[in-house]
Amino acid sequence: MTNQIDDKDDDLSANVVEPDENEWKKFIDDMKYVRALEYVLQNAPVRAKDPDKKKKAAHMALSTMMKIKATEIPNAINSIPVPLRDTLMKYVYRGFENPKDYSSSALLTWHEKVLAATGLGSIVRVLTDRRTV
Amino acid sequence: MTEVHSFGNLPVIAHAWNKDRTQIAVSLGKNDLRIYNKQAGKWKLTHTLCEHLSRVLAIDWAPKTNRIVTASADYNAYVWTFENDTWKPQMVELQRTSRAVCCAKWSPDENKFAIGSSDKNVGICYYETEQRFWAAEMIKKKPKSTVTCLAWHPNNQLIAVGSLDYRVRIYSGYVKAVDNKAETSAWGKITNTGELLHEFPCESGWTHDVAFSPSGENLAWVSHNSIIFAVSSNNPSKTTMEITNYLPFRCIIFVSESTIIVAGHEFSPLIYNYDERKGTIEFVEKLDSQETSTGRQSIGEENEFFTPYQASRLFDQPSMQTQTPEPVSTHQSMITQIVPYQTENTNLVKISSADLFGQVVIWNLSGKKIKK
Repeated sequence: MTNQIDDKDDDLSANVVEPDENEWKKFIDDMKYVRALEYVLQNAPVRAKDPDKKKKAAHMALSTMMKIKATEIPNAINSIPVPLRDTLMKYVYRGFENPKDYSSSALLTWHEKVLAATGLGSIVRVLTDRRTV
Repeated sequence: MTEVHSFGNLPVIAHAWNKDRTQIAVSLGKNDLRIYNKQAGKWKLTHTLCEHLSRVLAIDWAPKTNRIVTASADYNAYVWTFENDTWKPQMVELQRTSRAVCCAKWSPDENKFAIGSSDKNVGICYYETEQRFWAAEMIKKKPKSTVTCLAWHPNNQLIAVGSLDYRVRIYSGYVKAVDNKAETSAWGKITNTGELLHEFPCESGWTHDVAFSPSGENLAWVSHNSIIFAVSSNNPSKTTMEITNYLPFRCIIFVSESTIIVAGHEFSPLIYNYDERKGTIEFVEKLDSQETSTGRQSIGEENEFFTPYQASRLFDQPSMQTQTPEPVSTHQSMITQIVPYQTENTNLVKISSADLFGQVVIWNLSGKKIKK
């Protein structure tokens, strides 16, 4: 549950990363959905200012989440490293914003399972963090 | 044994104890400061200090000199001295504050105090003996938002300041007029007042409270994203953080060199252990173990106050019988402040915490897993 902040630079415009679509498709084609999700979370464009970049990454993350079966969700969350679980929770909330595109009932299952793993702290961090997804 | 004291059902915004812990000063969210005296196990209101025009936000009681400093939302701070059985106020000359003063704390030597305000000012205040008034020296490289909390280093010359711009800063609190000579410290060379020595980021959560360890070697703070941060003077570039599963914390205190207690929106204070060498902050245990608490001592004689939670339980007795009772914590609302109560060989053995339902709880730390 611990990690170090070596990165002193908190400027939002610096260090912009984004998931690469071809890389992500490769994981999807290989049916490695959990690996694909982890890849997107790792490279989430939290520092980007461009809403299109965020939308594209959100689509990748959420469509991967929709592909993972409800019974496999707890295992998937356990295999995702602890610092990335907060980002996962951010994507769950992002999914709730568009109920037409992503099934809210599936997202509620995700929400429940992530909450079980991270506690109320992760919801607080979704609400307070400036680095949105 | 945990002692629970109730001061009505108004929120305790801040509280402070006198030297021998027989008197307590509380701010109940009004523009007055109330001083209660303990007589035969009951709290009796002895003084009401009315000078502020708005809510009193911070209180600090200097034990040796027996002076109280109060800060309020009316942009002012007062120093109160006890003479002929009355508390006499003296206004602090804060020329530049144009917003609420959020925090005030006496330095360890009690010859000066620091204040932080909503208009981003941090001031070191001292008594100008020739002209007989409390003067303030403002820090020039000020934080970029409201100053919410501050802490003094035990060497009397450094302050840590937490603010809403997601930063914690260490400034020099050296004032030429009252301090003998600038000392060297592990955090860097102390020169003029307000020199910025370090700046730490908070992972985009606004800071609620900051604390130095008893030796001043370690610094820890909590922010609104439920993360606990700690840094050691041996390696100020490496900030350790613990991402917790709990609701945000509002206050933090070092009870020994490596043990931290945090509390806030989670009703029980939590004990954490900071290992500077490994760079970890580990959860130890919850401070609140319900069996040990005793009956509450309320002020007045027949005045029994109930918190809204207890009141709802009283009114709903018949319907409650069918349900299993929920676990009840000693605090039933947000904890607003933790202050030291009793010290033994630099470590704290008792602390007191205040909450939004008018309770002040004294916790005994003996028997808890605290590393010396």
